Amino acid sequence: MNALLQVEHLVKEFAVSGQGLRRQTLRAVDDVSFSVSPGETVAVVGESGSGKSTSARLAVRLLDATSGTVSFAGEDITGLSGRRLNRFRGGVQVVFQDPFSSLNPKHTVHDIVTAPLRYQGRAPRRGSRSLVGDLLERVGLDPAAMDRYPSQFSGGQAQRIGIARALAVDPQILVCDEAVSALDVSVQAQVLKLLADLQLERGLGFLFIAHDLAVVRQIADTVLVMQQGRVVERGTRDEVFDRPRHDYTKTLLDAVPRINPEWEARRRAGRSASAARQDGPAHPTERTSR
Amino acid sequence: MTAPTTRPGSGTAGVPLLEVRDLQVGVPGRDGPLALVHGLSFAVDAGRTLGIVGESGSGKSMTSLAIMGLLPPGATASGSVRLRTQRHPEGEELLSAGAGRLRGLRGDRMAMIFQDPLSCLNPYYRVGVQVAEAHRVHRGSSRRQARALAVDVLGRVGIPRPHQRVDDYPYQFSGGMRQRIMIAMSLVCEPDLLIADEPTTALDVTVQAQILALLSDLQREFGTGMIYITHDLAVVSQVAEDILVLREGRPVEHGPAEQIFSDPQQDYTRELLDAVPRIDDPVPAPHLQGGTTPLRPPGTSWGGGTP
Repeated sequence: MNALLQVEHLVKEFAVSGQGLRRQTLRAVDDVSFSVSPGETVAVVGESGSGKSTSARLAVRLLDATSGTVSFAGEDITGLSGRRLNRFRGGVQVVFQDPFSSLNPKHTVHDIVTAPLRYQGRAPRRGSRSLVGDLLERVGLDPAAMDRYPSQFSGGQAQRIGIARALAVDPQILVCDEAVSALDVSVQAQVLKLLADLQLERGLGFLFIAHDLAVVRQIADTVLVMQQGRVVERGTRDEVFDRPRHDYTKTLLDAVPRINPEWEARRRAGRSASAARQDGPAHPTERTSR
Repeated sequence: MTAPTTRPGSGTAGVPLLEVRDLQVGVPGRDGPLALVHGLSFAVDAGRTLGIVGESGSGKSMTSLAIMGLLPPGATASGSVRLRTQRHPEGEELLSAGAGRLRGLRGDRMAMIFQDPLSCLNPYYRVGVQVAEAHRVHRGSSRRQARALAVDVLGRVGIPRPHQRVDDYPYQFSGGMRQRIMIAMSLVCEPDLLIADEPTTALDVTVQAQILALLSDLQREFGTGMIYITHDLAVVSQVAEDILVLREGRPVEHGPAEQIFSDPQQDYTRELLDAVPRIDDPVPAPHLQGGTTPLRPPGTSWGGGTP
């Protein structure tokens, strides 16, 4: 496949203590390489301190690497700055973990969603209100919401606003840094569904940073497992989940809590039986508003 | 991990350790009182675990705070919360108990662990002092006894080299170790009732597995009755014998874990179970397949939903 976003031999060191010759550094990312192609979902998994988020930040140039290269559409963007860096940022957007801390509470949804366009110096052709309306509609929100403020939304809705903002510049790569971790499970399922639909529609490449292995199992094409700054295992999703080779991957997979498979099987059997009876699956009831 | 063994309740036969009846919790709102919990009833026996499951806003945390007598100022609770105590083996009403009596029970007969250990540990005190504080207060142990006890309890919750680490400060520990310290704090007086509110949500999956095993071991050792509050169905399926599903402060379904997970009776429970991503199953949950994105996410906090 032709990689769109490619990182090679990334290294990131942070100063921990001391100065000059006595400087102590922590190698947070150590020789990490991967690539993301259009329509592909690459997931980076690992525990806290594994360097997965730092790798993502390096790949989108939110942080500068100590060494290694980042290229986008064949162009080396490692040393870019100013307008040319901005052009790269039009192709790669990020959705963050905490929707509320990543949305300015004093800005309206309209201003939040159009912010990337302003940074890019791009004004939408048909005026921004209709563009924002379309984007909100696409992520499942009422276009009338554009004049409201972030505090007026639930966590799932706020994350949809973050996704609408990322889509405003029509990127080719979306980096999701724990984008669904803070959401309730039913809302999480809906946001994952939205991301999958958008990928299909626009051929987006996803770099998906997550600690939740069960979520990664649902959506990833390629999985990288990181531990202490290094990639210890990589492969297709099913290779990594069904035939893990590295001990650390096995430890991780074993530690994931599971519902008793026997209970699961009985529930599935019961569900298909009742579906056959009722001529269709049981639909969640619409919740009544208070 | 196996479920903890059931210990027959000591004391008065037939009286559960904790019995909650028709619990209502309300807070003052802009347009009059706002009910957050509407009529919950459940019981917890010694040595057993009740899992309370719900999404944000389901009232699960308010319920535990009401039991502990820790509701925020202005919030009110009604109904009945009875704890079996030495003074009242037939069950002592906690909702009408005075602040002094509640202080006497909290940390001694009933304890709580929270999601974020850092916000519960005082950064200025050595962990040993904090772990043994409840014992000094409730049992009047001396400084020396308290320190020895802290070393012992820290060792039991799996802190390596406890005799050295007892003098360290919270920032010197990792997230998983801090959670162990909080568990040590809650268990120092060997309480009858332990409420764990999302105790592993902030932890890495390997650390989570260790903490869950630890809680189960300690429960077996002390015969503690436990309420385990979480949004994580897979976790609760491993720790709880009984499950109570909450939604917007109302009970949706209540029963043995096996029944809730293998034969849920309510649409909402099924919906929740369907939404859980399965690590062993590459097929996405039904919500994730085909069709259009649902337009109105649940839990809308404002009136203007999309048509």
